[in-house]
This record gives sequence, C-alpha cells and structure tokens, in this order.
Amino acid sequence: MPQMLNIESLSVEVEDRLVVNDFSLKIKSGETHILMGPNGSGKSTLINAIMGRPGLKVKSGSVKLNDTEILKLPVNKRANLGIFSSFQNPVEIQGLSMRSFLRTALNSKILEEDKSAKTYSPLEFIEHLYDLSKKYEFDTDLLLREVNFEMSGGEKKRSEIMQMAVLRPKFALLDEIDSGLDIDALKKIANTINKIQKDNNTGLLIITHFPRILKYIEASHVHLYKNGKIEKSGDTNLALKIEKEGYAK
Amino acid sequence: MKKNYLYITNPNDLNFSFLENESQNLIVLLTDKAEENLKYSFNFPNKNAESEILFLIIRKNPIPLNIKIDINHKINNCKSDLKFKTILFKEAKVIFTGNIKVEENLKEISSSMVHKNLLLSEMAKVISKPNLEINSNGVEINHGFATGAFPKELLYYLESRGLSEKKAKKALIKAFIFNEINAIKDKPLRKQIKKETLCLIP
Amino acid sequence: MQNNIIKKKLNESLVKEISKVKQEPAWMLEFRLTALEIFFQKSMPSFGPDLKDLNFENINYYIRPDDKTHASWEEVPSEIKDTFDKLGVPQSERKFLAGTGAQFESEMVYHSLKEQLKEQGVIFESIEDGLKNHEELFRKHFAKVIPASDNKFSALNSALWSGGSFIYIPKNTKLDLPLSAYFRMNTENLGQFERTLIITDENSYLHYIEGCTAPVYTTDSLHAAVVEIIAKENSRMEYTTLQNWSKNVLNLVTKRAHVKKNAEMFWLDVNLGSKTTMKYPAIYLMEEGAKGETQSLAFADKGQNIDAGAKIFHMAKNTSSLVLSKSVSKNGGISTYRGITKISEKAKNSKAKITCDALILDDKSISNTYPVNDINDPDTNFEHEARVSKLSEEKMHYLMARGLSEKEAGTMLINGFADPITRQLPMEYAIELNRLIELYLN
Repeated sequence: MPQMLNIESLSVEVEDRLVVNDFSLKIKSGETHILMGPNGSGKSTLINAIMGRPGLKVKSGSVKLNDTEILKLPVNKRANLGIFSSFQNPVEIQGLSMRSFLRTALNSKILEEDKSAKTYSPLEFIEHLYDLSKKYEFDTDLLLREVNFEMSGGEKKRSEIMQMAVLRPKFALLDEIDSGLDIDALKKIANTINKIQKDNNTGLLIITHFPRILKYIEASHVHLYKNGKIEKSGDTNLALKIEKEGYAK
Repeated sequence: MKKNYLYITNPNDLNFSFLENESQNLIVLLTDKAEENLKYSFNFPNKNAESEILFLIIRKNPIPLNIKIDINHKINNCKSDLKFKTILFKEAKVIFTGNIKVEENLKEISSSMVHKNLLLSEMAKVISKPNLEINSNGVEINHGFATGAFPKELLYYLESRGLSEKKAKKALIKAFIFNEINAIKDKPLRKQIKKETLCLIP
Repeated sequence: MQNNIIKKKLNESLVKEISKVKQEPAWMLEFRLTALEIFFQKSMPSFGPDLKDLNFENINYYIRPDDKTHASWEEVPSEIKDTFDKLGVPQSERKFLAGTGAQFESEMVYHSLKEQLKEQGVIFESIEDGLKNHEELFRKHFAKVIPASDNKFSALNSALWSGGSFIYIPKNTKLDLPLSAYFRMNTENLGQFERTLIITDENSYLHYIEGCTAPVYTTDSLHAAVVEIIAKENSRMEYTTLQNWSKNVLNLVTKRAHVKKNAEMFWLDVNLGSKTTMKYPAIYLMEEGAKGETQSLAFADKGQNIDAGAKIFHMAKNTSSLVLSKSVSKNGGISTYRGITKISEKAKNSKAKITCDALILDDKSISNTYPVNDINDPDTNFEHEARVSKLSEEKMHYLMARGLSEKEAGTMLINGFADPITRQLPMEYAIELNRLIELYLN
C-alpha cells in the first residue's frame, strides 16, 4: 500500500524566531525529495519538528502520515509508526550497546504494527544484524560498539544509516548525511541509502546544502528552501542551477 | 546581558548577591598579604544572574591560608562559574573548603568550580574540600581539581629551544596564570592584573 | 531452632558468653572486653547520616551457636517475595536469602571446591574456624589493619564479632575463579557483626565476592561488619561487594586494606539496599609501587540514605590510586559520596584520580559530594572531577526518536551510566544487577 507523508502549512518557532514558515510538502513512498538551502536557513528545524524534538514550538499546520496526524504524538510513537530522522550530531552514549538499543527499538516497531507479532530475541537479533551488515556492507565493528561512543564523524554517519537499515522506515528524513565525508565515503553511504530505500520503498527527504550528493542519489524532486518555505521546486536541473549560481540568486 | 568586571585584592570577607539579568565577572587576587582566614559567599537570590569568578592565588607565606567559599543557588536560571589558579612557592599552604548548594525544585542551574594548582616546592601543600549539596534535578554541576608538577615534556621543549631551566620555568608559570587572565575582555584591567601578578613571580 | 537464639543486653557478660560459646582462647576474650570498653567511650560519628534513632539499648544481641536468624517465611515482607519472583531466584535460595532457612543447596559444589583449595594450601574458612585452626597466623594479622579503637562501630564489632570469612592465599598462588561467600552461605555470614580477615601472600591473586544481588532480608536492624585485608608484596586482591539488605537495616561497615610493595588492592562496591549505609572502603598504600582502586555504584530510593565513598592514603613513593563513584538518587533517596585521598610527603611521584558522577532523577532526591584532596607533595599528579546532573534530555530524545518509550529509554540510559562498573562483575551478577536496576526504576 503506497504511503504518504503530508506536511501542510507548517510553521515552527525556535526561541521566539519563526524558522519554518507556512511550509508544505507531500512525500510518497519511494520518492526522493532533496531540500536544498543555505546554512542556517532552518532546514534542520523542519526535520526536528516532524520528528518531535523538544524545545521547538509548532505554531500552526499539520503533518500527517496517511490519515494520522503525528504532531501530537510522542516522539517514540512517531518512530514506531515508521518515521526516521538522522541526527546531524548524534549523541554518544557510553555504556549502552548498539545491539540492545536497536533490538528494543525494532521490537517496539514490530509490536506497534501487530501486538501479537513475534519479536527478536537477543540471539536472533544478532543474526539479523549480521545478515543486514552483509546485505548493506556495514562494518560489523559498528554493531559491537556502544551507541556512537568514541566514533569518528564518518562512523557516526554510518551508524545513523545502519540504524535506518534496521528500522526500515516508511519515511526517512536525512539531515546533512553527506557533510564531512570524502567522495569515497559519500559514494558508499549514498549506495547504502539507495539500497535501503529500494528494499523498503521508503520515501526520502534529504536535506543538504551541497548538490554533490545528487550524483549518487537519484532525486525525484528538488526543492530550494528559503525563508522557511519552498521557494522553487523542480528536478535535478534545479540542483545544477543552484550549484552554478549559488543560493544568493 | 551586561557584563561587569570587578577586581579585588586580598579581601577579608565577601558577601555577594548577584542581580537579576546581570553578568558579573569577579577577579580576586590573593597574595602573601591576605588574612589567614577568608570567608566568601556568593548568592543567587535573583533569576537570570550569571557570574564568572576567577581566583588567582600566588603565595610563599608559610602561614596556612584558609579559604571558605559558599555558593548558594536559590532561584532558577542562574549560572556560576568559578576558577582557581593557585601557585605555591616555598612553604605556602592553602586549605580550601568550597560548598555549592542548590536548593529544592530549581531548574536550569549550572555551576562549576575548577581548581588548578601548581606546587613549586617540596614544602608546598594544598588541601581541598569541594562539597556539593544538590537537592534538585534541574542542574548541571561540575567540579574539577588538578595538581601537578611541571610537565617535563614542556620544560624539555622550551629548553631545547635555548631557554635556561629558570627561564623555561618562569615562562610556564606565566602561561599557567595568563591563560585565564587573557580571557578578561577589559583591556586596561587585563594589563593591570598581568603586571601585578608578574611582580609576585620570582 | 528459634529457641537457640538468646536475646541479650549489651554488657560484659554478653561478651563473655559469646567467647565461651565459641570456645575462644583467653587473648580473644580479653580483646573483646577491651573493645567493649572502647565502644562505650567512643562517640557516634560526627558526620554523615543521622543515626539518632539508633539506640544500642534496644537492639537484640544474639548468641546462637549456629549464628543464624530464623524468622518464619510468613514474616518476610511481600515486596521482598515479589522481587524474588521477578528476579527468578531459585526456591532453594529464597528461604536462605530471606533468613528463614539454614541450608543452601550448593553444598556439593562447595565441597569439591574445598578439596581443590586445600591442595593449593588455600585457607577458606569461617572466621571462627580460622581462629580455631590457624591461631598463630590469625593472631598475627587480626585487628592489625583495623584496631578496635578505629571508630565506634569497629569497636562494637570487635567486642561482638561472629561469622564472616578467614582467607589465606599462599605465595605464588593465583586463583582463577572468584571465591564467593555464596558458597558457604549456609554458615555464618549473615551475622550482625560479621568479621572478615584476608591475607594474600607474596605474588598471589584473589578475587572475593560477598553478598548477592537478590535482596537479603534480615530482622536484625543493625549490621556493623569489619573487613581487614593485607595484600603482601606483588599480590593482587579484588574484593567485590553486592549489598542489597532489606530496607530496615542500618549498614555501618569498616573496610580497610594494607597494601605492600608493588601489590594491588581493588574494592568494587555496589549498594542497592539498606535504610542507611555508611561505608568508605580504605586503602593504605604503604610501600613503594603499591596501587589502589575503588569503584562504587549506589542506587538510593525512597527512605534510603546511602553514604559511601573511598579513603586512600598514599604513604610511599610511586604509588597510584583511582576512585570512581557513580550514584543515582530517585524518589527522595539521598546518595552521598564521601572520601579522602591523601598524598603524604613521602609519596614522591604518585598519581591519584578521583571521579564522582551523580544522577538525580527527580526533584525530591538529593545528591551530595564531600571529597577531601590533601596534597603534600609537589610531584603528584592529582586529578579530581565531580559531576551532578539529571538524565540528558538530548540522549532521551535520541533514543525515543528511534522508537523507545520513555521508560525504556530511561532504563537504558541508567544501565549505560552504571555499565563501566557493572561490566566488571561476573556475568551472572551483572545480568541480575541490570534486572534490579529495571526494578528500581519502575
């Protein structure tokens, strides 16, 4: 069944400043939307508001997953329903193993879909993780670590995408997943994102201010984000134009 | 927020209550001339008050210096940030008791106390009792304390560039104390404090 | 069985009777009587939790040849029984842990272990048997690390001690498996005034575990133990405590180790239970190259006051020490770190590090930190860090954004907070402890 994430006239304030202003966008399963905009234009705030980060104030508007309004739901419920967001600076949690954290998260999602469904035992989950790591070419090393603890910038990006692979979201909101990566690392992570999307028919919203990621991820829609809303929409050509002319114009 | 600087040398007693929406920076220099028992209290009865307090302690005097400091947080949204830089020569001895107290049901309190000590003689001593009494969970409280001799690699580095041991040591003492003084935004005050502290280093 | 317990007032005749029942040599009776006098003279501690409800007149002092309290299973509070259920404690152990049964079914395991230890020359006996069977060795070390006069409660213990372990590890002997008081739980170690004496001889190694994570119910309201350790040259001694007394117990414990040349002492101390705990395991680094480490973890819940910490004395050159304290307070619980690290003039070129990390989970709860850093040598490398905070909102959000409920996220963060300490426990203890943390939180 095709799914839809429908963002309608969303306005969000951060510390009394209107950062997202009457923003609207519809994303369907399998689509890839790239949202481009200059640094500090509030792109991350948009994602944070959809996910439900504390400290933001949604002034008006709605975000619906199919027919369900999600803005009133607690953040974990949104995740269980199939929304995933990557974090620009994921927190490091010493002492908490990636495996036990992800198993609990995945089992919550499975039970959300079907209360009587079978969940993963610790052992089954480890096997499942190894299967996934083969399929998506992750370092198994990442799976054995504590959540993001003492990971390099590149490892943290991979850790975020690995979590996405485990949680198989309906919609994934990826925030600057390309920043700070060299070309090889970027290629690798883009390939993985493509595979995960294909396997799960995920709808993607990718936020970036570098058009280079478009070389490796095929976008169905490209949007120029300015002053809290979409100024212009188009296809890959719009991105090329932005690359040539910059955001100033 | 308005940032004020206040510089005091060898005060006997201090009892400060910080004002609402004020950022007060305080620099206290304690030398051989200080009285032997000092009692300082810093209170936060008004919201949105911030304070950075820098203690510079440079002593050779063998009479033990007792410093007792109380920091009392009584209201939301306040920040206290204390730094101590202590250099002890000869038979100098410092006994420090600090109490950070946060009352019940407070939110957004941040308080930090950091000590760095340099003991420059076999006879120098430092005792510190930094107490934290925290009755509220809306807090972020930190305390740090470090004492060490001169890092040998640093001395070696300077000497390898041609400084005598004496000069290298003096350069490191200067760096130890100027590190904090350099952060003072008020330029004439910064100069004055540098001058006064340099006189105390043999 | 109940008839065997004699309830007595605290006086000389009680002490004489204990010594007589135990058929002790005269010097021990003399030691006990002197200790009793010291106890009467000593005042209560001037610091720490309020002990004014503690009335020595009102306490029942037991003389029981088998040193066990046998309450009836019906008297055990239902919350303790519930916890046994939730933890899945085997039926056979439940009665023992609740203080209602004498036998513990690992007797067989213990016997085969005992044979093996005997071959290696290891002594692992009850403290009473230690005195009886190895009087010379016992007398040489007993009360040398903690004299009766150390504090009021060590004096009380010295006068009334009963139960506990006596362990001697011979030279060049390294025990691969931890020795656990669990193996001889059917004997005396749940006493009110248990006493343990451990000697690790040159170049030996021992890991000793006392207590267990399952709650231990006792009708005795005062528990004042003394643990003395002598770690001889080049030996390593690890002492792990899992304290989960029921919440009526005052747990006032004196623990101290003397550490000789190049030897190492490690206290690992986990405190979950008791109404009030006062416990500051001490390490005296007495000779060159000695190392000491204390790690403690405390969870304070409603009505609990856990006052724990570490005392480290650097008394010789090239010594080093490490203290890590982690505590969590919730629901009005009070948790306190209290400690001292002293670098004496003789401790040239020493290193010390103290880290205190506290979490406060709600507005009713309290966290205190009272460290003393006493530095008398300039070449010391000394670091102390303390931090008090609540659960990080940022981390909570991150976990919940992946689909964890608030409860799951909180439990995981607190397990993660405790992990640097719990991971050092033997696996079965670590797993049980994690389950207890979940129970504590929910």
